[in-house]
Amino acid sequence: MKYEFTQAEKQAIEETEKIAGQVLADAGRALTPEARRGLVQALAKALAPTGYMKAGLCDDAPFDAAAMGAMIAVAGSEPGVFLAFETGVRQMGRLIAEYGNKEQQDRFLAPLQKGDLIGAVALCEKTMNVVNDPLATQGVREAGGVVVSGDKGFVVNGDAADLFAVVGRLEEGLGVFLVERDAQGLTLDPVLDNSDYGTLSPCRIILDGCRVPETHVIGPMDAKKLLADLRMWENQVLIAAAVGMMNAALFSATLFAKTHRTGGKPAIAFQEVGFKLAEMFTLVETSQLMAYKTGWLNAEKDRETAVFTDCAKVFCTESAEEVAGSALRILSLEGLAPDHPAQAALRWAKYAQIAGTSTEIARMHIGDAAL
Amino acid sequence: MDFAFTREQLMFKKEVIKFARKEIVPRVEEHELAGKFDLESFRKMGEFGILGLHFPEAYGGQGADVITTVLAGEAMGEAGVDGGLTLSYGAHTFLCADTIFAHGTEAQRKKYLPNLNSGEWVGCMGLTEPDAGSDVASLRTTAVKKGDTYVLNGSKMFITNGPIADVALVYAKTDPEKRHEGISAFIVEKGTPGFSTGQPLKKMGCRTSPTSELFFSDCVIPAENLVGKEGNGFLMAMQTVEWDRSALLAPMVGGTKYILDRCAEYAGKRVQFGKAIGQFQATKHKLANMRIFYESAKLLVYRVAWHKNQGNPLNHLSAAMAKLFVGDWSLGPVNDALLLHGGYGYCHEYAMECAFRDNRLAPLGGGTSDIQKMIISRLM
Repeated sequence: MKYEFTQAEKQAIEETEKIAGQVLADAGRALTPEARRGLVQALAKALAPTGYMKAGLCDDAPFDAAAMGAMIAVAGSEPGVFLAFETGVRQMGRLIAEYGNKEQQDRFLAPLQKGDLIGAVALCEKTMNVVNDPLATQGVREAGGVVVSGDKGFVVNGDAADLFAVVGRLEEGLGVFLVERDAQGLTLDPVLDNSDYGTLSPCRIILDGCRVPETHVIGPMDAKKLLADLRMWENQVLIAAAVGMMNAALFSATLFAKTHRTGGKPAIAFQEVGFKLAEMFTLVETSQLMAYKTGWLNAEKDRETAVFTDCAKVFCTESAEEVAGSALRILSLEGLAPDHPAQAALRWAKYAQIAGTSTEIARMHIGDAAL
Repeated sequence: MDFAFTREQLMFKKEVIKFARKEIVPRVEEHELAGKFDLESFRKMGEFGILGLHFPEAYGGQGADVITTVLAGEAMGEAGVDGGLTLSYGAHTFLCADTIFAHGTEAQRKKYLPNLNSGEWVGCMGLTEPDAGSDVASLRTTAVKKGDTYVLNGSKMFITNGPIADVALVYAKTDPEKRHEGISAFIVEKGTPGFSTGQPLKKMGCRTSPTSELFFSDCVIPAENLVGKEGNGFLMAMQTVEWDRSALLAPMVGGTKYILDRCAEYAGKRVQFGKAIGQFQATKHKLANMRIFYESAKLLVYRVAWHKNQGNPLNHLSAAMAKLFVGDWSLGPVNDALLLHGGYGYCHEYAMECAFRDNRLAPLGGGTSDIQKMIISRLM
């Protein structure tokens, strides 16, 4: 048992935080799809020399507690960009690392880790139920490749991606079709790009007889395992995002409470404020431990990983909303400024609860595990 | 980071659960209904080695590490031992015996620890007073040095094990002009002239843990019964915080697993509207909330335990967070457990209403949640 990181891990996390902070300092000004793509690419390139880009993508760099710690550090700077970025790195990267053949791993992982390739995972469909079953997107094998048709409604990082990992039916199971951005038969349609969630660079993708060479096809494989892995990886990213945004909200509220004077004393001296901060800090610390244990269980390949990840997902994302809400009550109008971490955390906390395995479905999974 | 227990620790946990289910749990309902301390089970805990788990063998202990000791408490909760008995055990071992071990002379250790660790004697800790709860430094019980004795005058309130204690570790002011620095700690034995206890208090929960006032009226004790140095009493009391925030909270963590398991069992069997209630989403939601609390509370408690095991200086922030979280956030799961059982949950036969009442102490006892928030916000 050990409740602390090694010195090397702490240094790696600090370094990651510093790099991400520098790259994302002006993230609020990236308002166009091109600017957002540039930001994701700049972040990947800046982090490429560190071990950050490898975690979970190769055998000698497991996705573990330290990797989670580093992701939390990045997420705090700008949750939306982090989520878009991680879709390509951690979700698509792990998909190829886990399920792709050697040629696919050699071809795609190195450029992904260097920031030369930006990825996205296309899973969700309008007609799907909450457990992603059945998918309507289908690939049919023809000579030398697979012809894919389907409609994916909300692809995070889609507007920035060079390569889409499209999940669809293939023969008796599921396949993953690695579709390049300029592929014939692929249409992109940005969604929510003018909203506060625009930093996700989301888009709808429509595949109409899109031909994918055999070299770009993974599968068919067991649907249940693939979908479970994809959701778990996404949940792990969302957990890191939740803790990162909580840290940012708590930090800003604490700083404000200590420096803003009212009634002749700093706001933190009032019990109502001090007690709120204490509750917030407790939730943040607890969430952090839940996040670290999620990473640790993943590296241990423990059989409880999936259900614990669900527990952490519910706890961390719901705590993020609570912490963000309390932060705003402390910050008052100051917290409502456009780029303020507190109001950003409140928005992104709701997203984090909905995305991946929603908190409602996660609770069903956890309840089923108990029964 | 590593959250794993060793194989030996996990095997020990299984043994404690087995022991508790066989020897203690069958007696819980009867004692809880009667509001009676289960001395027989307490002595069995002593024989098994739980009472003196972390003490050296020279004092009748087992020489276990902190994690193993905390795990024993969790195991008892998970087995279904009620909150009252685990509270009495906690006060006896960690607030009384451990202070004698940590700060007492060799003579005091040899005199008191073997019988405390075997369960032959029951210990209590007297700190809180009728007018000194959260503001413990304002306690008024005095200890005046007279020759080779101290004379104690005053009273204590809400003392766990008070009515049955053979040995009381009592905090009193040797310098009433000072606050914290004026407090010293003394051992007072049952039967000492001038020392008496009140009637057991009738409480909402933890009924098998007898609680009472302690009275000191010109109570003369030998000077050698001073524990540690004069004026160090408050520091000694605060050093029990690490145990309080780990070993005393662990049974509540284990208790959550117990109620989760009982709820899952009930939800699997209880049929309404043609199906087991476990199939309804609202039921799964409740089970999930119990599991989530269990997992998160466990991390906070073992973080405190791990740091203590490493010999790290007390991290007041971690300790306060563990207490606050377990205290406040545990109430939801026990409420859900009671509701899930419906009318049966309201009856004594199922353990839910007992857990509901016992857990209500969590945000109050051993430092209220508001005090924890004060500590945390001051340290931020």
